[in-house]
Amino acid sequence: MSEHNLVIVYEDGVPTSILRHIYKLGAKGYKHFNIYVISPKGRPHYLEDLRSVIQGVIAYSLRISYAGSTIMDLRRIAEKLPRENTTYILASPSDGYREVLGEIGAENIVRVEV
Amino acid sequence: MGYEVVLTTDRTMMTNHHGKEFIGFMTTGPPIGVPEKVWLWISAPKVKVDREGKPREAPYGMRKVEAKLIEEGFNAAIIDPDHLHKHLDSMKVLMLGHHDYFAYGPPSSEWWMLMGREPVNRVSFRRLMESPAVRKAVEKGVRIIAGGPAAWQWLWELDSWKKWGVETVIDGEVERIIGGIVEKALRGEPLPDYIYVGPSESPSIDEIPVIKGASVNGLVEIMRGCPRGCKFCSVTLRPLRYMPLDKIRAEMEVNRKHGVKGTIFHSEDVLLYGADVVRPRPDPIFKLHKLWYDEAEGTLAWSHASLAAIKYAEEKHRIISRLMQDYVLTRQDFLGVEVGVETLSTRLAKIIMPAKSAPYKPEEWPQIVEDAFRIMHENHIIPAATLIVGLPEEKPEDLVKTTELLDRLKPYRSLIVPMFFVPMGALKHRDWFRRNMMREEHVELLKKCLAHSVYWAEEIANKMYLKEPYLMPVRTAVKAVIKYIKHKVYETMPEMEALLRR
Repeated sequence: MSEHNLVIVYEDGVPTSILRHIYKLGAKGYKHFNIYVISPKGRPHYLEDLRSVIQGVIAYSLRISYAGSTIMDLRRIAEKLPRENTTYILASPSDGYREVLGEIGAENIVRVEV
Repeated sequence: MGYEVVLTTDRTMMTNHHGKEFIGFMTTGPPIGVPEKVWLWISAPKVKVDREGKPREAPYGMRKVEAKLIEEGFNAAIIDPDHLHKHLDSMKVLMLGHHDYFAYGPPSSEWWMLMGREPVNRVSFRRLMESPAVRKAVEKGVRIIAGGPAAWQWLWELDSWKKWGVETVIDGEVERIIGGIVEKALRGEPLPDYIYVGPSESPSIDEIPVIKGASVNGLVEIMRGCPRGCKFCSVTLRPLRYMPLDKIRAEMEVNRKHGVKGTIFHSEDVLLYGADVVRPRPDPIFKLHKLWYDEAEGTLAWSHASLAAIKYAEEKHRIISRLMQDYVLTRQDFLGVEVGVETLSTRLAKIIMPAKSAPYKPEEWPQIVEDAFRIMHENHIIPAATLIVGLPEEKPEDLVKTTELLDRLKPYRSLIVPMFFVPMGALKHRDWFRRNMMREEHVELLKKCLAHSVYWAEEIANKMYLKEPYLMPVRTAVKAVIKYIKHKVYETMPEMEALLRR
């Protein structure tokens, strides 16, 4: 199965423009997305912010997990995931998140406006 | 000895509705005219169980999951909600399934909106989750996984999700993945919070197990998916698969072995079994029904059929009249089925369901509906028909058109139930139909549907659906409820109209 990991980092909200990135990856042949979410909201309430993303996906499989809220949590999950087949979507103004991804050598980083 | 993996649901689902599944629709509303206990006794009586609390009949979808887990070596069983306490010592995973956990599906959401009270299915499910047995299970660290066709509703009930200690919600066909998920749960490994099973993970025919215990009223699926692609439908998003006759026969045998004599052929469109895309073919349909005729003891029902397929099947091949005369009516007085009218506006039909009328053109939709209703009436098929109100593209003239054309369906024995639009399928990102969106045209349509259905409901309940002697108490209660609804609705109609228009 063609899997791709998405790490979504946000503070205030999740823009539906994320769907465009999922569709683009889908067009490349990925059928299954493991989504890890860094959010201040906690489990399971962060899913409220992901609802429009979940509702916008009908053609692909999703596995969505809460991964924490802090920069340390992002580091922890990023160190576990492979560099290829992982995209980081930052919907957050805080530079700390981008810095830690730079430190671990993350390759696919997308900034989106909320 | 208990079970490690327990599957359960609340009473409104764990019931056989006195052997009359259409009565199950009463669980989608609040109690009317009678106390809740009586309403539940009419619509969702307890089901027989064995000493372990395993029900004689259980929802079909849950039976599939149970069967898959058993085949993969798990110590799993469906347990009646009143008997969960018997398995608290052994239970490690509790799996929940439901058609409508929180009454957000149609028609529950509509009755809730119109009457301002929670439907009993929502109340009953909450009662299950707050029961001592489930609370104890959570305390002991049992991992709770929720699934079924209403899994999506948990996304709108995050407080309940947290409060009740649910760990994972799974939306979609799970046969390929459920073993892996349960294995992880038993090993104490972390699970995702939300899983959506996309089409690439849909199980093949060989991966779909045969049920091991009886399904409610003998329901067996004959196919999955639907080729019509209506935008409001979630089922059409699944790949189309026809179950071979051997698999259907095997499941009918399981039901018979457990004392469930009736059969319900389940499909989004029974007449498309083995079809040439949207053109019914006689051979597969007759083979299927001959299987029932030769091997089943009890009655037959269809879960769903499409009006275009009914018309085509009869006009091209006389399938309907031959099936009914040669097989069905030799054993029973009528056949019940759900059908989708959805709208009688060709403008709206072209937008939301252009292939619903296939192989005919969308412009012919109102005539297709009338012809199919006539064919069903002449052949003793009683449809419960749905209309969808509040679709995103709907305009007032669509409602006016539908209301006017409903008069043409007056002579045909049927129930017509309007459903408020709930975002699903390809339209799942759109807005719900809410009370403040109600217009004059909606009220007129609702009134027309009510008049039609109340008129025919009395005849159907008295002379056809509940006529067996053992159902006399249920028939009496249902008659009383229909009378009460008629009286109450017409008495309070001016007030209701004013309320709805506000």
